[in-house]
Amino acid sequence: MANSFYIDLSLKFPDPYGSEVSPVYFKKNITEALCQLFGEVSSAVDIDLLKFDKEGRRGILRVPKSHYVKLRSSLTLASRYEGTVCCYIIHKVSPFLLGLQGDSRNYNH
Amino acid sequence: MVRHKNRYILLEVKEIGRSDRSHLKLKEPSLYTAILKMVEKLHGDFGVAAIRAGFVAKYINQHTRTGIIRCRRGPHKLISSCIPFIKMVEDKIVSLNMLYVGATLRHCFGFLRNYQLKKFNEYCVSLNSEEEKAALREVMMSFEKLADRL
Repeated sequence: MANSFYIDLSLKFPDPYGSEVSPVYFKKNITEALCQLFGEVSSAVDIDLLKFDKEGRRGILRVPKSHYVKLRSSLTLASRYEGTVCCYIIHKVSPFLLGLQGDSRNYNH
Repeated sequence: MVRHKNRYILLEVKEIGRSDRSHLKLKEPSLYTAILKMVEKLHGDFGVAAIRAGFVAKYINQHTRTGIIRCRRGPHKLISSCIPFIKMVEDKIVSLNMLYVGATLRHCFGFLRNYQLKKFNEYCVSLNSEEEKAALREVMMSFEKLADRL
C-alpha cells in the first residue's frame, strides 16, 4: 500500500476576484492551519505542493499517510488567508496520484 | 461510568545561573501557565483541549524547588513531551527536570518523601544548631497541606 496520500483541493474566497494567491503563500497557509490546530510537532511533517493553478487557486498536495487525518481536519477548520475569510474545498483524495486523473463520475459515454 | 485514571508528575525546577541550594520563589499559577503555553506551541489547540480536563500544576516547595502536576492518563504524554522545552517561568530562566511519573498520589508522596529526606540531609551539613534543623525539617517534610491543594 502507498505510504502517502494525494489531495486535490482548492482555496475559495467569498469574493470570486479576491487576492492573488501564489504557490508559496498557499503552502504557507496550509502549514499555518496545521500549526494552529496540532502545533509545531505536526507542522514539521513533509507536505509537498506538487502542482498549483493560480487562476483556479487549485493544487495537489502530497502528505504522508500518518498525517493525512491531521492535515484534513486542519484544512476543514482553516478559515483565514492573510486576514480574509476563506475555506478549503477538497475535490478528491487518493493514495495514488493517478487516481486523481479521473473516476467513473467523469465518464463520457 | 468508567473511572478516570490520572497521572502525577513530579518536577524539579532548576534556575539557570543560581546554585542548587538557593530558594526559588514562584507564584502559584506560573508553572501551570508555562506548561499550558508550551503545550499550545508544540501540540496546538488540539493539545490544549486534550490536557485541559483535570489538569492541575502546583509549585509546592521552594526549598527543594519541586512542583507536581496532575493530569489525565493519555494526554500526560503530551505534557511530558513538552516539559523539557520549557525555558522560562515568570521571566526566570529555568530548566525543568522530571523526577517521577506515578499513577497515584500515594506513590508520588512516597517518592517525594525519600527525595526530600535526601535533600534535607544534604542541606543539614551547612546548618549548626538543632533549632535550625528542626525548622527546616518542618518546612520540607510537611505533606498534609499538599494533599488538599491538589
